[in-house]
Amino acid sequence: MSLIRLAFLSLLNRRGTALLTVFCIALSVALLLGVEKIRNSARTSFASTISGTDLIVGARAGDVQLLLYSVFRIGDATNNITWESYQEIAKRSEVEWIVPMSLGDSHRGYRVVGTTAGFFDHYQYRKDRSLRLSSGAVFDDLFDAVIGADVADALNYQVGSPIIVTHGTGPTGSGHENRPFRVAGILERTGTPVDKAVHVSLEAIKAVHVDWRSGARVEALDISEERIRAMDLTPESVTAVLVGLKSRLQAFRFQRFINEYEEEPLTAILPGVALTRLWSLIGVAERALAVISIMVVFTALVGLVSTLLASLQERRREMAILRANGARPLHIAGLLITESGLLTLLGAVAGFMLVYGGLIGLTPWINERYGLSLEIEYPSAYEMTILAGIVIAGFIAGLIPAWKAYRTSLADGMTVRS
Amino acid sequence: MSDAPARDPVLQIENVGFVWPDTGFALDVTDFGLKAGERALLVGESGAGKSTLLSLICGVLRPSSGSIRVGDKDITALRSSALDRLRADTFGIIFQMFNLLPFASALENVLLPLRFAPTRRVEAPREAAANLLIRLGLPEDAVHAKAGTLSVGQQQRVAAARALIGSPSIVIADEPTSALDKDTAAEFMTLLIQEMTRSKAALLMVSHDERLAGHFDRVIPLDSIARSTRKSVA
Repeated sequence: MSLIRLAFLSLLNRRGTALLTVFCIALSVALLLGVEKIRNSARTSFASTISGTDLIVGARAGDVQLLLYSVFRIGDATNNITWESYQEIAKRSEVEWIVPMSLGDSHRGYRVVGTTAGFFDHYQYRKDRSLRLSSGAVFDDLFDAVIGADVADALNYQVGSPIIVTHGTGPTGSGHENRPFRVAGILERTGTPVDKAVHVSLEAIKAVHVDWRSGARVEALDISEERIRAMDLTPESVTAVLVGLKSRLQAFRFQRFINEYEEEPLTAILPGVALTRLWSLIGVAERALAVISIMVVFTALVGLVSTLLASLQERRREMAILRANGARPLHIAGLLITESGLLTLLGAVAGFMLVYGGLIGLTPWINERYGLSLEIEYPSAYEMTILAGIVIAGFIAGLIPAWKAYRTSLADGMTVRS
Repeated sequence: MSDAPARDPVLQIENVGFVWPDTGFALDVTDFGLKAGERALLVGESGAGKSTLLSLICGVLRPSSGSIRVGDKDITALRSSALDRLRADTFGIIFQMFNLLPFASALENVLLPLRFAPTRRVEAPREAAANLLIRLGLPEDAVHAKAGTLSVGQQQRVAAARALIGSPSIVIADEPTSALDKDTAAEFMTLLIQEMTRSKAALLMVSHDERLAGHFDRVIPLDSIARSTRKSVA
């Protein structure tokens, strides 16, 4: 009978505690692998919040700041880009498409983005996914709005629901009650900040502000909707511009052109580079999560050691029988190490299956609910290294009860003396 | 009693002294030997030191003085690992009870010594072990049963088979019949002695039951070869 079979039979004999130990290890392994999967997916999702856009242009600012307000709608721009500069950029031969964005208003905590219909054609995420409408259509009328999936879910809006835009992004801003919008379309969930935005046309942003002066509405102006519709609603400025180039090879040169633009101070960023930089800033939380998962695995291994140690007293007779039949103390120690390794291996395999079973079952829901693109694919070399590391750690953890068993079996010999 | 033929000694003890450090129980053995194939019954009162003597012979306990020769080796001079190896190769051991790994089958229990003893080799071990079990009176359908599910009598047959597998030169039996009823004990002893004769191993058995004496070449009262005292523990 091999040592492995002996260890297996002995564990089977104590199947209750053995199963609990395997379960603990399985849970901790599942947690570690699950966190790893989510970490990777979160990083991938984050890095692909925006794709297909070669440059983002805004007023002179840090690249992370520009990324935050233009893509993540966090914070505000320090300045705008004049419409003349926007047109100058749009006219450049390198530019294939350009989408202006005007930020500054909100609706019940959700940012309002003034843009053009081109936004829905050119904004891409997760490599090459384009925005798609789950219902309705892209704005057609001046006071049409296209809302993200989160906005629709949270506020229970459907196509046709009225929307009152608030001036400013704070919770106490004054409303544009006199210029209500109508939900024209609802976007499918993307897992990006687009889900939390209300999109209106650039002209609409101008329209709701025609009777505003110095940040407040001038009631006396009382401009009718008909008059507004007849006005030239070309904006004086925009907050940021998404730019697609004819060739990506031109990105750096075009970036330099923007950064050295003489008419006004502008900044152009490469979204991928800025996203990586931003991730490195917020990656501390991600690393903390990984450390916690490792600690959970460590705790499970400590549990394994204490279970094996606790079983030693009741197994002294088993050890004595083995000793009487020729087993040397090293065999006894080897048996304990084998048991520890077997439990860890079973736990690691169970944890692995738990994660992948969970992924198969929950991926559609996680994708739908949180917009995280969890991919079910073959385990990566890194994951296999983690699993191998845990199993090796299990064997190493077995050294502690093995040493104790070695000492006990030396002292007890073939008879158990209490 | 049968006449003991002239044979080589397999065990020789001379002037061995041992003291249990925790209780102060001391055992001094003057002179004791066992020849190849010889069957000896060691009798004595409870607590007289019979089990201690067996542990000294098997090398589980180390004497503070004297020599114990097993074959041509003085085991008191052996390193721990060499002693373990010698014990695995040389001795088959039967305890009073709680002998077996309850979670392993009868057959797997019998095969256990072959796993650890380098020189105890048997051709077709599973078949040999099963045949040995059946010769010792274990029903055929119990051969693959878990040891924990067997009766006490059946368990002792498995323990005897395990002690005999691979032809050790000495079998040590520590009151193997004490947990059995009279008839089962008699049957067990008959079968054990048959197998001992077949294997040609020496047998040293400890028992209170002097009625078993007929199965042995000689009966050795412990007090004829050893003296036990209780020393004060510091």
